[in-house]
Amino acid sequence: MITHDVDLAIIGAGPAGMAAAISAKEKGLENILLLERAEYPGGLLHQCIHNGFGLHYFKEDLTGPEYAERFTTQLNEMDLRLSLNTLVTHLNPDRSIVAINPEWGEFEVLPKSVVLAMGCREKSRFAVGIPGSRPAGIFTAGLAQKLVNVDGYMPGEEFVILGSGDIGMIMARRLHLEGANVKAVVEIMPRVGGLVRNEVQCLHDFDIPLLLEHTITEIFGNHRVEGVRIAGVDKDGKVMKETEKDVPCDCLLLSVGLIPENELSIEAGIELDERIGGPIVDEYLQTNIDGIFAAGNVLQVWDLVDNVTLDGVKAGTNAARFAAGELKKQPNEIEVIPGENIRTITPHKIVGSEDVEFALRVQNPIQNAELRIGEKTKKFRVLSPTEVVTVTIKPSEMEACRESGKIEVSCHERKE
Amino acid sequence: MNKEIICIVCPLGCRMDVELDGTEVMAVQGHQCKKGPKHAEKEVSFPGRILTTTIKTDVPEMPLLPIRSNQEIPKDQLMACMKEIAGHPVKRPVKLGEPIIQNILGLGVDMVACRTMQ
Repeated sequence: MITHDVDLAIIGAGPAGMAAAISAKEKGLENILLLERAEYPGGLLHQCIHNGFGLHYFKEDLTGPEYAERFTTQLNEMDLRLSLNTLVTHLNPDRSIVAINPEWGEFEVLPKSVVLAMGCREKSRFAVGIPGSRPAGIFTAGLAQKLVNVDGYMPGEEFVILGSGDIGMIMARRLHLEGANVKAVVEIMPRVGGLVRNEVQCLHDFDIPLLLEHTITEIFGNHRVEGVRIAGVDKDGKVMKETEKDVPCDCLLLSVGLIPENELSIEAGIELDERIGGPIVDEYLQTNIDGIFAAGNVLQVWDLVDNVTLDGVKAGTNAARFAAGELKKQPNEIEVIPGENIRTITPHKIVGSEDVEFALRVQNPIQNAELRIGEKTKKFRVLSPTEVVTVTIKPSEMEACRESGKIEVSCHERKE
Repeated sequence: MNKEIICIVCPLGCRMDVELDGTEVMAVQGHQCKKGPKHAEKEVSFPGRILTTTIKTDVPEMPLLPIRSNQEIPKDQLMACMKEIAGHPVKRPVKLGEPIIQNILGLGVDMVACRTMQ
């Protein structure tokens, strides 16, 4: 078996992995290897042909492929080693990696540090438990997106989309533009799951019906989807039988959420945050195994690729600092405690004495919000569960917390 | 005439009640900052969108090339543009940003390549 000794191995060459590689190299690491399962770098960006990428990072409104090419060009210019068509099969607690590709067969990588950048994957029908038969014509929204935007196939003619996350709404518009009939986007919650701009520009622009507080209770058809049963739900999320209605269609798309892809992490003994599904990390994005970092959607599902890139930059930079012995840990760790109205938060613990950037998602929408992080408060006009907020805290603002070993984060309505 | 316009400038998503006289905004209600009326103004006077889509290629391993409009296209012309694009297969090589269809439907807008195709 061929063995590669490297300073840094990065698993996944999507936006997080590419940014990590570039940043680590800029920080002085020489021997970097990117391992990518697909036949090209860039990950999901290639199928995300819509615009809205890079507004924060590049201050430009780019499409997914344009955003990807900025990084793939840089990978080439910096002569970073990229191993395509490469499936990582094992990650061990000592950081060693086993992978397979057509060129080297099964091979081993012995890295001094690792960045996990495997991204996330879509929840399927079984994650939401829709009864009925199992005909052809049921796709996750992202798979349909690849078929339509990369491979050039239309998966059907008449669509119902379950879930109003961004991918679901973006696919509703895409299919409409390509001549399909999108009969409804069905959402169990009283509000859309994705960004407001997508509700307006993807659904309202094309008069695509949005059914809030509705769900799909049955799928019809034996060989091919013939229709779905749609029903309203009450405020407890219970189906109201009397509102059931059958809608004929030949395709059902599911846009019901994303889960970080962490099979390799679990095998290596990396501890996960059960709520988010990604590794438990400190402010360097380092997991419980020294020298293994996590970045992007494998850590938590971000709304914007810009944040994924920033994660990659952080993980790549810190992987290089780790190799140089620059990552300092304080004797007292601070545990981050999610309090009132906080759904998710990273990092989970603070080990150093540098600025800490928190990324959090609130539980419920809140106007005139006040975010409390330890002693510090920050005001927001509005915080919404559909958007991750980032807040940076200085070490001087956490002095008190170092004593107690805890920092609580909560979100409240301002009383004025 | 009154029209509901949802502001998309920030995640608040204010539902604005906009009073119109033809294409002129007379009054706006329901917004929470000054960006709302400005957005309403634009949505009424020039409701345009960037069009992103794909175009067929002659490359078997890359059957589609992603393309975009380099400026906004009037909303009511989007479907007509899609029809126009369907009739124009593209040959390699293509450079990022290269115009693939110039002045589509005489709108003064180019459809440009979103990636390199060698």
